[in-house]
Amino acid sequence: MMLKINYRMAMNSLRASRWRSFLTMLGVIIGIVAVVTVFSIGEGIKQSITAEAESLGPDVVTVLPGPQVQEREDIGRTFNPFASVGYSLTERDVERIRGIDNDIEVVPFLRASGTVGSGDDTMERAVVVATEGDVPLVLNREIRFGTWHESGAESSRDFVVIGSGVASELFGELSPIGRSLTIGDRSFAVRGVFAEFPRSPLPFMSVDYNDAVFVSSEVGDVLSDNGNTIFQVLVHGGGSVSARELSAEIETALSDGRDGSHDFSVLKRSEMINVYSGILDVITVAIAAIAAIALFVAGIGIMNIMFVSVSERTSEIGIRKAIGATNRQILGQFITEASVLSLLGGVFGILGSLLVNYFIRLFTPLQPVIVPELMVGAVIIALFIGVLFGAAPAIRAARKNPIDALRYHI
Amino acid sequence: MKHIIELRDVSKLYGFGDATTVAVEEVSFRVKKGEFVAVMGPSGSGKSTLMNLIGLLDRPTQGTYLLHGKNVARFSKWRQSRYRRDRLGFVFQSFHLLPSMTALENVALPLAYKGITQTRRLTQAGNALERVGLSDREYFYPKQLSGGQLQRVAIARAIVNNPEVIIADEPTGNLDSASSRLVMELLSDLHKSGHTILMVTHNPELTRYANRVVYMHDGSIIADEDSDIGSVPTLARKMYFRARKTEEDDLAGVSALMEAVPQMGGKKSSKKKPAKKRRTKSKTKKPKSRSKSS
Repeated sequence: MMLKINYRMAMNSLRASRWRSFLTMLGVIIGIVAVVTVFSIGEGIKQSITAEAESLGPDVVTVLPGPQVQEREDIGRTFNPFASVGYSLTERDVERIRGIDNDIEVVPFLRASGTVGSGDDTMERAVVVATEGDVPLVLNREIRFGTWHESGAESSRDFVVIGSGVASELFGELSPIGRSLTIGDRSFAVRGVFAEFPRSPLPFMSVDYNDAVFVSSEVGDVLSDNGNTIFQVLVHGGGSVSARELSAEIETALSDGRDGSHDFSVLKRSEMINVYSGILDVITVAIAAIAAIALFVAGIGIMNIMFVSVSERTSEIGIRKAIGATNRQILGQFITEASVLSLLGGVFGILGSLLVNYFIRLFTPLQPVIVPELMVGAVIIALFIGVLFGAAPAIRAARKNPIDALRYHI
Repeated sequence: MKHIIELRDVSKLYGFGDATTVAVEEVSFRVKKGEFVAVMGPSGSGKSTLMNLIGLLDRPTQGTYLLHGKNVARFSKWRQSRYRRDRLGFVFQSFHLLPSMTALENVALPLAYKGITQTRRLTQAGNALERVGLSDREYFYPKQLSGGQLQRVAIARAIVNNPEVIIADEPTGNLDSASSRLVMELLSDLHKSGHTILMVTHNPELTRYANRVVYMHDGSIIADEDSDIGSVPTLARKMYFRARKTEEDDLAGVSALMEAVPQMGGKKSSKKKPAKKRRTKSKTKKPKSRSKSS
């Protein structure tokens, strides 16, 4: 009951000084927009990581060189791409994995050197990936135009399969089948174009297959004089074994070939997601903590303006007390006022961040997502700030002596 | 009849040490239920302070104040608030309405602190406004109303909780004579309907509405007489001219103080004494000081 009355009174007095209320609110709005935007970007990246990892298919196990993924006692599972040891995965390892079962599809990915071009144009961004086996299967992405290399076929030497990004950037068309592409000084014909891969939100952590040129491994050997490094091996279980069993078997197979050193990482899909989103959570929270400073400043702004308001309205407080308002009711009135101010700031902040979101989607490759929990959280935080920073001014208002307050004149 | 208000040797002091001012000095004073008491006296005689003490807006420094036979000194702040809300009604010289609210909302405010629902609040407030003859001004804001109307709204607010005691501190001080009459008639009606009324006034004419007149000077009650409603009592009649003089005294006191302060370094002194000394001198400054004091 009192809450409703307080709310009405708060709205009344906020309306009485619209500009001041708005400017005070602006602090909260900016703070909430900052925090919500950071979290929504984080959430967006997390969702696309999940989507990307899921695009691998549930049966695929990833083997990475070096101890990139480590269990640590203090911070749990960590991922460190710099722990990658260039040559720690070898052809022999690939053979060992192949030896586990005949049904499984093992596809090594090697980086080969060479600038990709067509005619006079070059595409510096394009990466040359040398591979063998059923790449469309392990990457869980179909060839949209043309065909994949025929495995083992001699003819594969002269052909490449490209990602859709290469097709549009280098050739300016969706299906440049049969057109000529050069890697270094060697010339190839385009045999197939992959359907578009989901764009990776963390490009430094994995290869963007849209910008990849896939060549057969024999060609890869020719392109680079001093051999190529295997940067990952994707293993498809073929439906007969679960990913868990498969990764355990790969783990044993690779460990057996080494004398105790564990310079490789075997990851299931779910682990990939966990690892990536774990890093992301840390980054997101760190940035959000910085953004939260804006909220703190906004809170101080509210406190400041409430103090001003309390001393300006001293005679109002006196009148209210004279006609029977208790200290607690005066306290409630001013806390409600601060909370409404802050709460409205929170609501407008959410609306603002929806707008900011829209522009981020429009002008950047990021796909921020505002989940309902985030909105609820923002509103609760705003309310909390109002109560927290409105308390001191409200206490001052409540403690005013009625007769002094009544006599007070500015 | 039972005494609704009883003061025993009540004093109110302001300040500390050398700067102590005695606003009310050992006043003993009793009010029966249903009385209409007019309190007269020059400015600074402690009338308003006495009203504030009685109205629980202030606490006495010394002495005992019994309200309904209960010692107010033992009241918590919360209980004081509740008494102000339910049993006391205030009417001030400068109205003290909230400018951001309509007349109706202003009148309904005491009910809000009682936790009454909005509809019932507004109905009761409407009834109160009707009693003061302002039904057609419910949705007017204070700045849209005349002084007399404002004071009637304030009276409506004072009576909306149907309090036993109504304390009016110079209710007609800011009003012209026509509005004053209206306001006084209203207070008189309230008196007739059983409310106890305490009214501070400068104007002896207004004592004709009261059935008891109390005279104060320098914080003490110097006279207390019953009077018939409708006639100005003898003491008040005598004080009519004195009141005028004291008003001059006041103005003289202000200008004397203004003159005195720069040389004296603002040393605290009783307002009255230098005023009397400089009365003749300050007459020339009267218009100036009037504008200052208003």
